[in-house]
Amino acid sequence: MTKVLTYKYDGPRGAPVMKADASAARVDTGSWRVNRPVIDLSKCIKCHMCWLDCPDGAIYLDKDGKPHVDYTFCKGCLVCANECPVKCIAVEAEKK
Amino acid sequence: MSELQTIADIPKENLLSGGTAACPGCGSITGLKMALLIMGKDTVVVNSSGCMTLLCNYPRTPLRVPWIHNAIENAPSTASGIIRAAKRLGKKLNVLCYCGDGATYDIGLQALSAAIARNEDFVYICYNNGSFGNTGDQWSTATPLFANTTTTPVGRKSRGNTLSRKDMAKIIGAHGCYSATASLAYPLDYLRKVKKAKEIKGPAYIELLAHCPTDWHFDSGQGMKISRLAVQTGVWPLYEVVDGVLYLQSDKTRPVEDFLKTQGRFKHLTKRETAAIQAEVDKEWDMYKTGEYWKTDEY
Ligand SMILES: Cc1ncc(C[n+]2csc(CCOP(=O)(O)OP(=O)(O)O)c2C)c(N)n1
Ligand code: SF4
Ligand code: SF4
Ligand code: SF4
Repeated sequence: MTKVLTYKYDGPRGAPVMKADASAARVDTGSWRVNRPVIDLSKCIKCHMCWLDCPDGAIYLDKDGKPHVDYTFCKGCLVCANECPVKCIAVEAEKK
Repeated sequence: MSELQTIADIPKENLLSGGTAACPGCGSITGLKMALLIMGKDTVVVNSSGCMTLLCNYPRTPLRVPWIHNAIENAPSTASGIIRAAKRLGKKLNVLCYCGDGATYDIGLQALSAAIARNEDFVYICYNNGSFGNTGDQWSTATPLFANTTTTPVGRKSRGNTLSRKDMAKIIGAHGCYSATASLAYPLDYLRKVKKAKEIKGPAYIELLAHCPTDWHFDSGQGMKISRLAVQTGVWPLYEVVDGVLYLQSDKTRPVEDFLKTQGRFKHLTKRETAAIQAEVDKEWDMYKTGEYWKTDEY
C-alpha cells in the first residue's frame, strides 16, 4: 500500500506543492466501471500485454508473473480484454 | 537495460498509479505510463496545461516522480531551468516534457524551438490526440483533415476541419535534433525510441499518436486497434529523423477508410472526402519513398 505523507502549501504566493507520491492511489475509480474484465489465469500465457496496455495501472503482476486486476482502479475500459492475444480476459456486466 | 526485444525486457516498476481523472481508455495517460517505465525514477516530468495536468488535482498526484506544471506555452523553458538547477546541484536527472499537441504545435512551439536551439538536454514527448482535448476538443493544427471538432463542427455549411495537419516531427527534425513518431499499438518501438531519446545528450523529440475515446468518438476498449490501423493505413507513419536523415519504419498496407470508419469524428465523410484524405496520405508516402522528405516547394 502507498505510504501517505502530509500535504504542504508553500506560502500564499507559491504554487501548491504535493509531497505525497502516488496519493491518487487512494481514489476509487472502480466505481466508474460498467463492465468488468475477468482474467482466466488457467489460459493466460503471461505475455504481460494487459499489464503494459492498461491506462490506469490497474493490472499488477504477482511474483510468479501472473496478472491480476485491481478493481479499486479499473475503470472498465476493456483495452486489456481486446488486446489479450489469447483472449483469456472475459467481460462481465458490473452488477451494482 | 537490455535491448527491448520483448515485453519481458521492459522494467516493471510502474511510476504512475491509478485513481486519476483521465477518461477510461485514454491513450495519453497510457503513453506517459509506458514512457516512465523507461525514463525511470530519476525523472522530473514537466507538463503543459492539458488533460495530463488534471492527473495532479491538488492535493493528489498519481506519480511516483516529481512533476511540475507551469503554463501551456512554456514546458521546455521550465525544463531548461530544471536542467540548469540540477547541474548546479551536481544532480543527474532526466527531464521529460509530456505535452499535448495544442501546446506543442500551437501555443508552445516558440519555447520548444528555442530550447532545442539552445541544445538543452531533455526528452520531449508530444502526445497527439488531435485537438485541444482538455478544454473540450477544439481544433489545433494537429487536427486531421475533415475531422469534426467543437470549433470545426460538421453542419449544413461545414464539413469539419478544412486544413491539413502540420507535420511537426518534420519541423522538429529540421532543427537537426532527433525526432521520431511512435504509436501505442507498437509499444516496443515506442519504448526503444524513448530509450534512445533518454540516452541522447541534447534535445530529443518523440511524437506519439494518443488515441482519445472522448474526442475521436469510439468505444474506450478500441483505442489500441485504432492506433494500429493508423499505422497500417499510413495515416500515422512510423519513422525516425536522425541527423537530417529519414528512417522509415512502417508500411502502408490498407486503405485509409479502415482507419476513418472506426471513429465518430469522421462519420460524416463522403466518398469524395475519403478519397481526398487517401490522396493526401499517398502523396506524403511518395515523398517518403522517393527520398524527397525535405523537398519544400509545396510550401
Ligand atoms: C495561453 C493559454 N491559452 C489557453 C489555455 C487553456 N487551456 C488549458 S488546457 C488547454 C488544452 C491543451 O490542449 P493540448 O495541449 O492539445 O493538450 P490536451 O488537452 O489535448 O491534453 C487549453 C486551451 C491556457 N491554459 N493557456
Ligand atoms: S478494463 Fe481498462 S482499466 Fe480495467 S484492467 Fe483492463 S485495461 Fe485496465
Ligand atoms: S494479455 Fe492475456 S495472456 Fe497476456 S498476460 Fe494478460 S491475461 Fe495473460
Ligand atoms: S479527453 Fe482524451 S486525452 Fe483527454 S483524458 Fe480524455 S481520453 Fe485522455
